[in-house]
Amino acid sequence: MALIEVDGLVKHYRVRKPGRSVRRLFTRHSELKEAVRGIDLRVDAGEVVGYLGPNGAGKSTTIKCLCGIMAPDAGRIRVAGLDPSRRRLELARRIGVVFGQKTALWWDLPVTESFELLRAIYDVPRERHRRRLDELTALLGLDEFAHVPVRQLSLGQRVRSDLAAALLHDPQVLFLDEPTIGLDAAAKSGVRRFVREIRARGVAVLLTTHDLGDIEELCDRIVILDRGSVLFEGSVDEALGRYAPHSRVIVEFSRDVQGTIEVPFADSLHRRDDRQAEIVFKRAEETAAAVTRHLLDAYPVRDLRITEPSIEDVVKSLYEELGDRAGGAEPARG
Amino acid sequence: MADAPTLLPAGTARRWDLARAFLRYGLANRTTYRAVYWAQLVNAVVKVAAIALVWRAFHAVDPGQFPVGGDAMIAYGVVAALGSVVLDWWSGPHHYLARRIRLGTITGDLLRPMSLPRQLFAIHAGETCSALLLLGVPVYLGALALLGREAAPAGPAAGLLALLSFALSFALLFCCSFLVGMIVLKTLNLLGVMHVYHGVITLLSGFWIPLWFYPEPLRRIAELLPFQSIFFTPLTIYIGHRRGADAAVAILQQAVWLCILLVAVHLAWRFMRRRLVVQGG
Amino acid sequence: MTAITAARRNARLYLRFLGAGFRSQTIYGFDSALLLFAVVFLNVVDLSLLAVMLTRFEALGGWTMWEVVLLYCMFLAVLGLQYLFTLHLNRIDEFIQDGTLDQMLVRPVSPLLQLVAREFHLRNLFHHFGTGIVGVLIAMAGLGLAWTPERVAILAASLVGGTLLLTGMVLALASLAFWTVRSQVFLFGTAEIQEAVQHYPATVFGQWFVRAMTFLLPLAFVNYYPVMALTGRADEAMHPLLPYASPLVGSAVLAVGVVVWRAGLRRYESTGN
Ligand SMILES: Nc1ncnc2c1ncn2[C@@H]1O[C@H](COP(=O)(O)OP(=O)(O)OP(=O)(O)O)[C@@H](O)[C@H]1O
Ligand SMILES: [Mg+2]
Repeated sequence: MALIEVDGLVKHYRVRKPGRSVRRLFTRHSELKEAVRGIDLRVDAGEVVGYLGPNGAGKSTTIKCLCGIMAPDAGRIRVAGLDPSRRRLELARRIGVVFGQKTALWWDLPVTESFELLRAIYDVPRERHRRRLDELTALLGLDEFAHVPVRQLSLGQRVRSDLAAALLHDPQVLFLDEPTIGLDAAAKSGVRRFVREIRARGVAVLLTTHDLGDIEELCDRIVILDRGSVLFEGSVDEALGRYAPHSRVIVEFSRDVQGTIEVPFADSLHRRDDRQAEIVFKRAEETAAAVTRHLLDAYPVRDLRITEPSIEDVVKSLYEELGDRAGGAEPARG
Repeated sequence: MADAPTLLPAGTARRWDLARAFLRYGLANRTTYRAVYWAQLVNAVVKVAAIALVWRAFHAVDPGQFPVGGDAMIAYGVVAALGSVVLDWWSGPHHYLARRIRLGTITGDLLRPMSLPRQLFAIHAGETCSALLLLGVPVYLGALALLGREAAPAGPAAGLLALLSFALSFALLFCCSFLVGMIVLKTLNLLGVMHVYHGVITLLSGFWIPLWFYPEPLRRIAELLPFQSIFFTPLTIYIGHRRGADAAVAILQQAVWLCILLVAVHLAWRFMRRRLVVQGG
Repeated sequence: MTAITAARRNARLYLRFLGAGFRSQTIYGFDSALLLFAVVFLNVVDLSLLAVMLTRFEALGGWTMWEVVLLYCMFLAVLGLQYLFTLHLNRIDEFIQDGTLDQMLVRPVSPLLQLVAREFHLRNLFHHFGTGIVGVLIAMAGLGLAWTPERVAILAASLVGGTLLLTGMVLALASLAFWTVRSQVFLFGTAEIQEAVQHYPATVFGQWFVRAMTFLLPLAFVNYYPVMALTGRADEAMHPLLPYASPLVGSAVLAVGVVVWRAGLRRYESTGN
């Protein structure tokens, strides 16, 4: 069952044209900036979709349209069966949102008091609230700082509290905009464990992140966005196959090897020096086993290393390529 | 203070460069939002008009109470209002410091190869110049056009001397605000300190009500403090209430106060820098 | 029926927010003491300068010194009440910029309720309001006005009306941030006019000013007209009922504020900020 359905979403911002300072006071030029231009998206229950793209691609803008904070300029959106811009208040009860940069809790209140307030706001029955809170406390380890005012929490503690706050009312859909930003390794893995748990309960999760670990560990599917359009949609493996089809073998010889090295099917071959070489080949055409067997048979090999590409390589090569095409990076806004 | 006694690093070319850069910063700051600028301009006009109207009303009730003519009194009010718009003591180094401390970005300021007082002076000078150019000058010209003699200085010499005196006022006010900023750093309570500061300036600088209306003891106190040098001195020079030797002595007094306050700034900063606790992470 | 349940729910929520607000206040300690001192100091300075002028220029526009003190303190008390509940409304532009508004929009409660209930400024109960009320009491004694039930009713109604009025004005002006990004400067702009209205009887500036403060920017209903009603000068007003109209005018201005806020929110939703 699709909990998020988006067809042809378009969103413009009106931005002021930059001008020389004093002249700016007397002019009124603005232009439309297309932040999102025709996006289609589906997220099913129990699915985590990674929503990726370089800075300024339009990710946060999409999420704002999906939560009903902004109305789209064109396109059809259904989140949990509702049109966000028409029925924002109703939708609010069915979704949870975490903007990693910005806390939804009350700065001066202890975490538990914030939760109590949220219970009232979302009309959650007391009994259910208590059960839910116990669960979340156990899952996220909130008890150590439950009575500390939010402003005194560390970043990781605050994000964990925010995650709990977003889930207190049992939403069907969860939007996470960079939830692991600034977290240490332990906190990150805690958050990831938590998201997997949520997925198991049938919540649809749309996750924006620049952390590739999040993507590899969590995402059933990824959508890569560039300047407002979808560039790729599919599983992580498909992305690897399409954008990082090469694996490489780095070989070290036990004595100097002069002359050229011959490896059948190798896409390219770099000699580092007389003792080392790097062989790049397409996974689809050749197996690592065949390449290493050939090397072992033909040369005096001392050591061998095989490296598989990661999602990081995909994103790096993709973003770099995009950056080249755009002629430099655009200034980013959260 | 490890810094040289000048406010900007050595090298005339570099100094100009810096001055230009900070002026541009000030202008850019003030012109970022068109609507804000126009609202500020309207505010300045409202303020000038309100003060002019008040003095006109008072003067109509009993002219005998004033040691100066009605025209001069309105000029006093107009220029005082403009002065308080351009030399705005609600923003400035204290405000900037408090904000940077709260955001925890003060560390960045401390790392720059220019001492904090100098940075603050440069920033504040840039902002004040932009306020002068974009708000002060247009409203002043408008007031001159509309009110004529009622807003004009007593004479060309009085006008020029007042300008010099106002330049000193700017430096004086900067020093006072910087010292207030040091208190804010110590107490971390901008709002309370600012209210007191505002009260002190309102009471003792003569910007709202000229000191000659004050009861004797209060006037004595005001004359012993630096605050009357900030507004009362240039304003009375402007309207010709102080002229000749009187004016020269008043300006000299401003200069002496400036030296004293510069030393105070120097000492306060040396004392605070070692104790600066940076809030937040 | 549903409207009534919704209203009841909103009221309940607001009380909850207030409760939370109470608990997060620190009204003791050095900070608060300093601020209390500062506010009292500032107003005493202000009033004594005004008094200096008033003793020299007796009968300023036909008003005696104690009447002007009453005028000043009435405004201060109303300002304190407005600050108590809605001081943070003047930061609407910040809330838009830093994403706080976005947080409010993803919750199932009216954003205006969340905005108003967000903070509660208890200390203003002692600061502006306290100073103002004490001043009102002193001025009433100075004028030799007895506390008849009628006067108590006028005072209470005018305090409420004035508070609604200032709240509506701040809401309307601060909501301009939806169009102009920054809005604090609009508030400073009216602050200048507010100061004039707080200090001097509007007639000092001439009849045009009285009209402007009655029909254009109805600040006269915060202190000028209520003081007329309290001191038995109602018949000097343009219309003898105007001095009693504060609650009505206040509600109307508040309605305008809500309309501007709603329009701004609609714009925000369709354009982003
Ligand atoms: N309020 C706004 N007004 C004008 N333009 C905006 C606004 N918000 C975003 N933009 C522009 O819209 C585009 C998309 O921004 P968005 O915030 O959606 O990017 P993002 O994908 O979330 O980027 P990041 O990874 O940096 O968070 C950017 O080019 C940005 O400059
Ligand atoms: Mg973003």
